[in-house]
Amino acid sequence: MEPDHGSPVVAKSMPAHALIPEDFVTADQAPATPFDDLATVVALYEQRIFRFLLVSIRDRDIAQTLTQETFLRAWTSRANFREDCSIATWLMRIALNLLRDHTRTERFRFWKRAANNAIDVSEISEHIPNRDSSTEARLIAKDQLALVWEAVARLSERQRNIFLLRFVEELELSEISIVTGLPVSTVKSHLYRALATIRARHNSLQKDAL
Amino acid sequence: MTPHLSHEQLCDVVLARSPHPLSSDFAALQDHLHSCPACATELANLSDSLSLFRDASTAFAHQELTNQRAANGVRNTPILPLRSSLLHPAYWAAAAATILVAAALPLSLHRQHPPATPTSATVAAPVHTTESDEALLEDINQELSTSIPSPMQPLADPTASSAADQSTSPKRNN
Repeated sequence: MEPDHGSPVVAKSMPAHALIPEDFVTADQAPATPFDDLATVVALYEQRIFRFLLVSIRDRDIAQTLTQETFLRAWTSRANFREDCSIATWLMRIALNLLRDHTRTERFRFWKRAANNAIDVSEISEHIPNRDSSTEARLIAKDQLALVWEAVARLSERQRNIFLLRFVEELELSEISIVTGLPVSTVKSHLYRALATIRARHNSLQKDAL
Repeated sequence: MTPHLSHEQLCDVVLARSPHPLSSDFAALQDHLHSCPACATELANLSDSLSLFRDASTAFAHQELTNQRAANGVRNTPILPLRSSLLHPAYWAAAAATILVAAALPLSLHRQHPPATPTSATVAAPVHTTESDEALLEDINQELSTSIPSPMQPLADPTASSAADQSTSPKRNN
């Protein structure tokens, strides 16, 4: 049976938006890269990219749009991927640049929209893992989570991004350096300051509790 | 070493960064943490909060992504939508052909149906229009052929009618 050239390439269990029309790849295009198989790349890394953008920008719709844009950019510029860093690092760099562009070029609209559609900490609190079933422990965990959530929101954009790359995405400092384009020492300084902010909030919460 | 870990030292432990786990500084930090409950508690609180933040964020993002995938499954919109056809040479060939056909069609129709000549237009004029025109011209000719225009006609004898009246009226008998 002749294959249907008009239908997209379908990978089983791939999200619908990761499908690539079969005629998208033309014969005169460059040598193969990992991004030629975009459906697989999306399946492997979409969760991480979306998570980073969601926690950073705290808006579902914008996070989803930027996630899709990240993979589209990665695909269109896949010839520039030299494999001198991991796919995850490269994708994260694209996502960070998109995030930066978005918040800078649409700053006014972004903040206006973020104020309306911002994810509330109570929504996150519902996803606290059940490490301890006692009510008291869960209340303490909620307080701790709210503390970090609010403290992260108060960080500068650069500090917040670096903090999330380290403590949510668990990238190494050298990888964060590649993603942000900053020296490792600068990355480290930003992490020190971000952690200082969180510790200060911790201490003030403890004083209030006493 | 100071009585408690400095902020940088604590951060280094949190970051699992320098000093190297095999270095003597690392061993000194670990010794201090074992012997200092305040620093150990501080470290535990901070690590616990960060871990909690990560776990909750991950679970939340996972749930959101699952919801969005379900929605996208219905909508079925690919990341790379119609750009493939834009890149394909056949697209441009089809577009050029469409433009050419659109430009050539009016010209061919124009040639198949040349404009009507003025003569035929005259012939095709309605009959009732021609008759009314001829009647109007006839009236004008009659007006022109009159020797004396009607405004210049001599007035009728005003007494003629009274005389006629007298002749027709019964004579008064005195």
